[in-house]
Amino acid sequence: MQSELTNIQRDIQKAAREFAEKEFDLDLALELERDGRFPKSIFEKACQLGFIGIDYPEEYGGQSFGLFENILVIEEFCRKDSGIGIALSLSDIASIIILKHGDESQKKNFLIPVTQGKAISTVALIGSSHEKNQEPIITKAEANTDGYVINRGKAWVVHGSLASTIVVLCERLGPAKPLALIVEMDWGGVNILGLKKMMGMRISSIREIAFDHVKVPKDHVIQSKNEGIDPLTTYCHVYRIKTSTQALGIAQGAFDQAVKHAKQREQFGRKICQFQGIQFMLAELYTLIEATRSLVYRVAHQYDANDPDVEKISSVAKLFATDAAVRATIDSIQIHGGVGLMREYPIERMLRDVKTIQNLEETNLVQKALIARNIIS
Amino acid sequence: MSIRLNEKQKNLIEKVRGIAQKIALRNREVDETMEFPWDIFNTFSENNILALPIPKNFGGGGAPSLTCCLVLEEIARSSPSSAHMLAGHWLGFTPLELFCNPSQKERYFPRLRSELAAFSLTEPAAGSDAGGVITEAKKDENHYLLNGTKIYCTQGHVANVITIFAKTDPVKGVRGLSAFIVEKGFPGFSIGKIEDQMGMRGTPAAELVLQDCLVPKQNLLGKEGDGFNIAMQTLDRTRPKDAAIAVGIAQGALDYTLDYAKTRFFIQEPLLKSQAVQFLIADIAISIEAARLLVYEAASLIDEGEVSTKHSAMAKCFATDVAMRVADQTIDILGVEGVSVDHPVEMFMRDAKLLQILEGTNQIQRLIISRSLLS
Repeated sequence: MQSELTNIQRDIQKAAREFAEKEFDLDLALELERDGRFPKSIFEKACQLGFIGIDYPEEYGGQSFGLFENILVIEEFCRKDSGIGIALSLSDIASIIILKHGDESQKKNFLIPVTQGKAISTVALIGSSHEKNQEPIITKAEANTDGYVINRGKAWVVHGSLASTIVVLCERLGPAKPLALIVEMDWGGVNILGLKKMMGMRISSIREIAFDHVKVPKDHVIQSKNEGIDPLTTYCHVYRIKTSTQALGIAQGAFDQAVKHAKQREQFGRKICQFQGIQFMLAELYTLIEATRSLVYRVAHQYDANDPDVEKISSVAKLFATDAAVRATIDSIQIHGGVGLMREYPIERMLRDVKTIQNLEETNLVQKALIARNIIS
Repeated sequence: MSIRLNEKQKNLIEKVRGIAQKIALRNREVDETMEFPWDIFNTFSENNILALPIPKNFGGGGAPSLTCCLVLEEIARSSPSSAHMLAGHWLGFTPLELFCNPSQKERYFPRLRSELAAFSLTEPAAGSDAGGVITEAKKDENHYLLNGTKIYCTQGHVANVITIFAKTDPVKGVRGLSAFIVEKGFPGFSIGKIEDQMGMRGTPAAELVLQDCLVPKQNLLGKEGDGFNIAMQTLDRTRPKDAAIAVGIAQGALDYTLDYAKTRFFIQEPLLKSQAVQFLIADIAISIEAARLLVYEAASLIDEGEVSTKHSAMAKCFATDVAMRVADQTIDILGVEGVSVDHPVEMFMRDAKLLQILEGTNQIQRLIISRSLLS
């Protein structure tokens, strides 16, 4: 796979790896996880160095690279530390919607602050499909503002209490296209409810946010000019690809740790990597991770090339990569034995983190249903 | 073989179920604080559950292995960590049951109806390989002096009576191992680090520090050099119990999922109408039933006096792998709710992971099984 990277991509990968090695500290990660705290200063440094927003055009503070370069960074970050890596890679999860569908002033107003480390942008997905017989979530506002009103809605939002803006994606009843609205956190009617405590991903706190008659003016409505694809679809594709990259990085990190441990730990008078039972586990994990990487890199390239296959392959990648990573972390704990279970080592946290990202947003049951639909339609 | 529970066993399970469901209300608090749940311990003690395997003539329940497994399964279904507490106690009692002389029985059996026991073999350099034990026991006139550090002793920090393995002959490998009945109050015994572990957090692993720990000569279990045999005979009898906890975890995860799924939707149809979910729960049910039968078989062999190292290892390996997979699959059915602490399945998965490692990793179980097939 390395041979397929350009020199610049290799430099990006190396820079991300070095940054993570230098800045992500295990003790810090444990403290952040215990307190449910976002690593603000690491985030700011990552912004200064251009890792966040690497895929935005230069005029919006980015480096004009594509999603592929972005995932190289995410992979290295998650490889070094699952929790910090996930938190950083979700710090600008709304940007892709603004980037692909927003207008000039929205891009200037909402992308640049993120690259400067001054803002975190997140997404709230509120749907109609699960809330039959309820009043409509959205109404058109009065003629004089010509915006929208989010009448009601609730969502679990990553970085919910940190973000300054949320892109609210509203799935609507009937044939209407999903709608994307930029909501500022300090507006009336945006209520941050409780912390959702999860198995993992605790460095990225997930909050329940309720929207109650939130007025969204016209300049905050994303009027998608992108005819072929709607903002919700863009978001789902990119979220799947980013999740599969996080999973890839975590799987690689868990594997790195397993190899290191197996080469150090001695039992029965030899290193445990000398036992074929361990060797075959490592061989299988290596195979699984290589296959995952091929798939994830492929779909990121496809996304950058506007290949319509992204619809299907992004689901395939998310399904395969997260399942592979759950297995890799479980097996890495197993190779570690007792120490693998202890919180002071990073492995058990990797399993909790990857199990959480696997089930956030669209589950793998949903991915299978989508893949099947694509195959038979 | 056919396992049919008798009336007495059914009644016991019924009683235990009621107790387990009450205990389970404490699951989350215990998981978060890692404080040893003495209230749950007292419940077990007061209801004579703690003393189930202790012989009747010492005031215990005299229950066979199968009955103990049934009880563990039923408790684990609601509260795995509480079952682990019980299994840890019984693991501590088993070497005493097998090897105590009459006077040791008199001294310890009655106490273990209401005091906690534990078992301590593992050391930093001796995990899978018991031969790596460094802790030494030196004999003087009336005592053994124990020096060393033991790790990963389940609930060692709260146990009063612990079977500790140490080398009376350091150059001899596993044949130099001996077993000692060590009390918490013995001079030179102290508790080290208590592990912040992934699962089974109510019953954490503790480090035991032995600094010239003074153990009376009459607390040697069996003879000098019997240690390895004592440990292996113990584990043959306790592995089905870990397996029973695993079956309970898997069953509990399935129960919860079936109940939860009733009210949930998947792509606009009720979750349980989805054939994907139906097939998944069918597979889960198959694997649980298979694991359960294997556990009952291994336990029954012990009760019939035909203890099988192979069957005990197979039950432990298979059932704990099943528990891990089932917990994982039920989380996937519940989706994002499954990874939220509002539901027990994520805890079941963390608890199950410990079972794949403790009392011999599942790699060691496979080693034992293939060895017995090839010998």
